[in-house]
Parts: sequence; structure tokens; C-alpha cells
Amino acid sequence: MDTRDTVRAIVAELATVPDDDESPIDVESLVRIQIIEAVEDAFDLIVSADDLTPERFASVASIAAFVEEKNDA
Amino acid sequence: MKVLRPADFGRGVRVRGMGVALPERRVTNADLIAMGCPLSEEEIVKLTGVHERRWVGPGEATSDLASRAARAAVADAKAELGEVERLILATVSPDYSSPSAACVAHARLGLGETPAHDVTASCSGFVYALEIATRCVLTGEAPVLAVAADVRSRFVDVTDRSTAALFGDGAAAALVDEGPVGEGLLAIALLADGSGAHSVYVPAGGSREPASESTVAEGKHTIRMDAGPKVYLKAVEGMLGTAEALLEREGLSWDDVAMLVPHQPNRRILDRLARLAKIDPAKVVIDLEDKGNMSAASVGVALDRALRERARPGDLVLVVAGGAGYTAGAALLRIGE
Repeated sequence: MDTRDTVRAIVAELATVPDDDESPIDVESLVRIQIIEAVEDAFDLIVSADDLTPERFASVASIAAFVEEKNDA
Repeated sequence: MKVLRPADFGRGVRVRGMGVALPERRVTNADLIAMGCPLSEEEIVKLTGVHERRWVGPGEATSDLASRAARAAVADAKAELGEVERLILATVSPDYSSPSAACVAHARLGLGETPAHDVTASCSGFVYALEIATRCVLTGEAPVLAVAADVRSRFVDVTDRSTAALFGDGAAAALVDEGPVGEGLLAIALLADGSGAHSVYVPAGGSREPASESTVAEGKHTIRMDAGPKVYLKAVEGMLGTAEALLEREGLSWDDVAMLVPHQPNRRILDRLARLAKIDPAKVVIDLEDKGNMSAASVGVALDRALRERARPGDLVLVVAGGAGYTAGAALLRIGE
């Protein structure tokens, strides 16, 4: 599975996956936190508060881009 | 970040006694759902770890709980209220906008002309109050009551999925006094980061947007937590940052800590804190399931329980809190022999 597939699977466990990867994931904050934690576990990374801009963790595509950027850093 | 070490002044400061107060009324998750909370019982437990919380009854307010906790702390210390030289009350839910809840509690406690004032530092309030009390003791003003009390239930929108199930009401108090150097309160760290001023807040009812028919109609008198995930991460980072600063300053490590007593915002934050600190989860005091997040009071209530049920002479106890504001704080205590 590529990064987007993994992110999509994580989101599907916790929320409704939007029709396309660019669309916003519509969840309340407590579920968004679960998504963040699941991404940390799946990709072995730590998300900091500074990482959490409004754009990141908004959609499957933005989360996948963040993961790849973080892993490349 | 500011770090205060009584030993730097050649003095010792200790928590001489503690007390707590909780309202009688128990509000279960089923009760919340009956009030309109749009979460299932299973979701509430999974997302927050809270099964029930205590809410005040009609006519009951923050100063009532604060007064009860203060009396319990003074009794626990085998002291008299007449000895108290200052009353500090940390709260974000005072009885009135003015005067301070501390003054209302002061009258109930019969503290004469003893100075009394509130401190507003949200979930870090208890640690902020402890720090100010420690400064008082270091300048010869002792003993001092450091109280944290909150009645957040009055500001909860039970239809809001993000906050409806989190909050409970309660109070904790510590009588802070002189003590042996090298025991009791070894060091306290505080920090604030105002970039989070609107992270968890009540938009209306203050001087920026006074209460009106429209603010009430729009629910602006209730708690908003639109930036929930950021608060969650910031709270953990604040607690870890202040805790690690203290440990480093004292030449200690997480392995030296016998008990970590954190603010109790929700179970997920506590699990994350333990994971990132790489501390044995058994050392983390969890006191959330039947109380919820009591804002400033939570960490004090958890500390009271930890000291009574688990602490042994010589134990190193690390108290950490963080939340809205953003604010954070940590206090390192050595239990006396």
C-alpha cells in the first residue's frame, strides 16, 4: 500500500472517507485526534502542535503529503 | 518558562495538607445523552474515558466547592483557618465576573482581612496557585491556601460533540507552608503561550463581547473548542516540556519519578503523555473515569488521591498540567520521611 492507501484505510476505520482524496474529512475534534494518533502509529512519527496547521490533516491527500514530507525530513 | 526552586533561597516549602470537594450530583453518560448529547455511551467512553462526572446542583457555585476543599485541607494539616495568610483561588468559572470567587469563599471561611484573589490559568490553575503560594512562603507569608475550583458544567453545550462529555465540577486545596529544605516542593515550572488564547474559550460574557440576547441565542456563553487537536497536542507538549525542564534542573530522569500526577483532560491525552515520556504507565495517576475534566481542579484532586493512597516516604512525585491559553506547569515534590 502506498501512503495514500494507508491514510485512506486509517480514516475509513474512524470516519466516513470522502469521495475524493482532496475533499475535507468531516469529523469533530475528538475523532480528528484519533486519526492523528493512528497516523503516528502507522508511520512511526510524532505529530507536534506546530505541525498541525489548518491545511494539514484536512484531507486524505494533505495527510499523505504531510507524512511524506515528515519522513523525508 | 520560569522555574522556581525554594532551595535557591535556602528555604523549604511543603504541602502541609490537602482537601477536595465534589458535588453530590452524578451525571452518567446515559444522563448526558438524555439531555441531548449527540454521542453514544460507547463513543463517549472511547473518545474520553469518562463514565460519569459530578455536576453542581441549582444555586451551587465555584466558591462553595472551593470553601469545602479549603476547610478540608486546613483540617488535614491539623491547622486553623485563622493561621492562613493568603487565599489563592485558581478558576476559570468564578461565581461572578466581579468580584473574585476567592472573595466569596473568603467570606464563607471567615478569613478576616487575609488577602484573597483569583488566578486564571485554566487547566494549569492548580500549579499556578501552588507556584504563587510558594513565592508567598518564601517571602515569609505562611501558610497559604492554594485552591483550584471549577464549575464548567454551567458553560457546557450538551449538544456539542467535542466538549459535551468532557467536563465535571470539583475543587482541590493545598495548605502550603514552610518545610525542611530538600523535601516537599522542590521546584515548580510555569509557562504560557498566548497564541492559544482562543483554543478553548467562552466567547461572550466578557468585556470583548458582553452577554446579550444574541450571544445567548448563538450559544456564545458556552465552551468552544474548535482547535481541539491542537490543544490536545499543546497540552501534552506543555506538560512534557515543563516536567523535563524540572527533571533536568534537578539532575533527575523519568526513572526517578515514583508517580506522575497529570491534569486529567481525557484518557487519550494521558496515554499520549505516558507514551512520549516513556514512563511506566503504572506510575501515571489516572483519576478521570468518575469525575471527568474538572479544569483547574483536576490535577489537585488527582494529587490528593495519589498522596493518600499511593505515596511513600522519599517518593518523587511529578505534578503536571496544561491546557487552554495555552498554559502549562509542573511541580516536583519529594515526600517527607
